[in-house]
Amino acid sequence: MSGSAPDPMDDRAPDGPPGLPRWLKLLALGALIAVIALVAAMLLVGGEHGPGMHGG
Amino acid sequence: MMSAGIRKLMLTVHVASSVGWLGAIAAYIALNVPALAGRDEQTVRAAYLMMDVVMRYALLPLAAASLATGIVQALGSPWGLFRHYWVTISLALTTFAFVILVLHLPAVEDAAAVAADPQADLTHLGGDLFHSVGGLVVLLVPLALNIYKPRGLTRYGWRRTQNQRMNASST
Repeated sequence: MSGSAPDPMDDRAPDGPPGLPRWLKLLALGALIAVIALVAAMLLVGGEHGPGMHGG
Repeated sequence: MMSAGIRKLMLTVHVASSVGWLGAIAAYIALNVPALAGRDEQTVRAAYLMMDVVMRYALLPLAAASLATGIVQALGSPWGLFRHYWVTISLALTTFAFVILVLHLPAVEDAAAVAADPQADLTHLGGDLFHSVGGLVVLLVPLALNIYKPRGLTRYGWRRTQNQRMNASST
């Protein structure tokens, strides 16, 4: 999860509490689109998505 | 905090188990090819049986090792678990993937049990590409985050940094 990074304390802390970084907003947007696409795909195939469709 | 030697040892185990986890997923996805497109019934049955084996003896142990060593590595280093967004997101996604893996094991066992029965019809099994490809995509995010380590303190990390600075300036 964490590696030998240059300096983990290098984040320059702003005066006020930091907002969400831009990369995190983009990641959240991508995740939301992926979830919507998955739900749509599962609805199209009837929710079956595994070996034995979870029923054996 | 861990010593530098222990930290490097833990990092080695963490990278090995994480890369091994991705490799095991690749093997699992490869087994879906004969399971989904195989014409020889024996090969299809063997693929489902091997998916269960790969799940039990490669995916689960490597996933558990990756998650455990990641947590130890984060807690034993200045990064912490909840100070930087990239660490917290990596932990959340790795935990999510591990939980789905554990919850999915009975379904894979059921499919293997069906495949082990020579009289059973395999046409309804339908492979297992959804979970395996989905798991691979989910785990590529922590992989990228671990390499790039993008900036971004959480509120908790920001408070800690502020407290450390106040303590340092008062001494």
